[in-house]
Amino acid sequence: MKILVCISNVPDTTTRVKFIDDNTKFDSTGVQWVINPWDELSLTRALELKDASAGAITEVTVAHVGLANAEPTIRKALAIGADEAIRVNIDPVDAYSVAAGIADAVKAESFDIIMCGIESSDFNGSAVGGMIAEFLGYPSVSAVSKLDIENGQPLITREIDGGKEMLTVSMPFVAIVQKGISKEPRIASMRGIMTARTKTIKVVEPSPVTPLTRVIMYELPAPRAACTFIDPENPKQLIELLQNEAKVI
Amino acid sequence: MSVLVYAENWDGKFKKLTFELVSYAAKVAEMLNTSVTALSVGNVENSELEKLGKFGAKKILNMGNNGLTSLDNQAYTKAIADIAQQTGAKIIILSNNNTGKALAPRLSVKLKAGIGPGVSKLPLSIEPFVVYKRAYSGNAFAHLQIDTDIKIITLAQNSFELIETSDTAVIENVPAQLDVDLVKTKVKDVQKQSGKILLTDAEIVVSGGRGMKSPDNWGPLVELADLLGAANACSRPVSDEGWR
Repeated sequence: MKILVCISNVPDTTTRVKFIDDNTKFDSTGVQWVINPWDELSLTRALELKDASAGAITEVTVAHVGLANAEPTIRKALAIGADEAIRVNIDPVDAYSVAAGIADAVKAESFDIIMCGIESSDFNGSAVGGMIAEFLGYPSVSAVSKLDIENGQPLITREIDGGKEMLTVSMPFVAIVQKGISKEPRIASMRGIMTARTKTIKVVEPSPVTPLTRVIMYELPAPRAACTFIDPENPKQLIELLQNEAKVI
Repeated sequence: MSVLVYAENWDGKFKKLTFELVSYAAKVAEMLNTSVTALSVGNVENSELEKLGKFGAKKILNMGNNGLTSLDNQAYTKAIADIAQQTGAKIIILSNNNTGKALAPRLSVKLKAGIGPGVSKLPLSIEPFVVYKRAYSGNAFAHLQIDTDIKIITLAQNSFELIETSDTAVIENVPAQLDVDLVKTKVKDVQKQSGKILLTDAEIVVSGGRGMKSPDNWGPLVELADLLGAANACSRPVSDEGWR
């Protein structure tokens, strides 16, 4: 069995977000790039499944759509434990171009499970996983918070509004994973870091596609309103504010 | 150019988010000088369907579900795409909840329609079609241009007000179009939360952040939420720490 984990290269979550060129472009000056947090958890779960599979899962591969400057992030995924890596060599404009690139690169590879994080922390589009599934004609399960393999079959917990569902799905399929899929992202070991240096990143040139959407401008949110502190000895003031200002009671 | 809205139901009932979605779709339709068709899939009584009319749907397509009571992304995508094509919909609107996030990307590829995901305002312009969405995890907002003939919007929850109208809608029963041969998922068990007000349904939310210092200090927030008929929430660091 083979698992593919799709990874996005995003600014570190503590980055102070700024824009240049009349607010049309993200200012990447001095930005630290990391594996998208949901994708990192997804990779961790794929590796846990491989470790527990007694050899049934033979390979965990990561795929990324982007230019060569993302290679340190891809190498980090290899250091964490991915066996192989694919980089689809385009500078993607939207989720559609990312998904088309990955689908094109892996359609001949017969992965049994393709895992994608629920969203990237930069574009927050929640679209790539479902799009890959549709391009490949595979089933997809979204909002996956638990993924196990039992007797060679996937057993999934999916979050629904107000609860959860336990389900099975036929393989190959796309799992769009979210919080809960694994507890903590796996940290690269020194041995992993050394081995990753010598692994090859396979570079793929995809068939060209026309993007469907594009960001024409960014804006920053309004500054946060000041926080009102209330003395614990003065609950009357809290009641007064909840009643007259927040108007919730 | 008509507007199609997917009106999800839960055990035959719509929720506030469905009505928000229809209110939003009605305003988008007004901007385009057209009307809203709502698609409901599953067993929903006419008295419940009529509520969609109150929020601005002109036509309600009531589709049976062939006994498929859980969401299968491929079967639902095909059914919605078929209806979109049959009704000539140019704008398809879904909620940005788990269902919308599961279906919209598949619909996008099937119909070659660009998505505006997690949109929180009415379109900023129609020609070109530009929507407003959260980016960089809330640290920015993006003006996103959708260049395709058919456009898909998923509306961020709790981002649009309910607008009641005095209108009524025409209900049309349509044959079930969920293709059971496409179904590759099988739900074995369902666990539903009971008794608690869901965050997505709540009018009032009592939330706490790291300033609460410890999960042991959450008691008063839960008590306050109970008293107000509110839902509890927390900030991301609190959730990441596993306090809640």
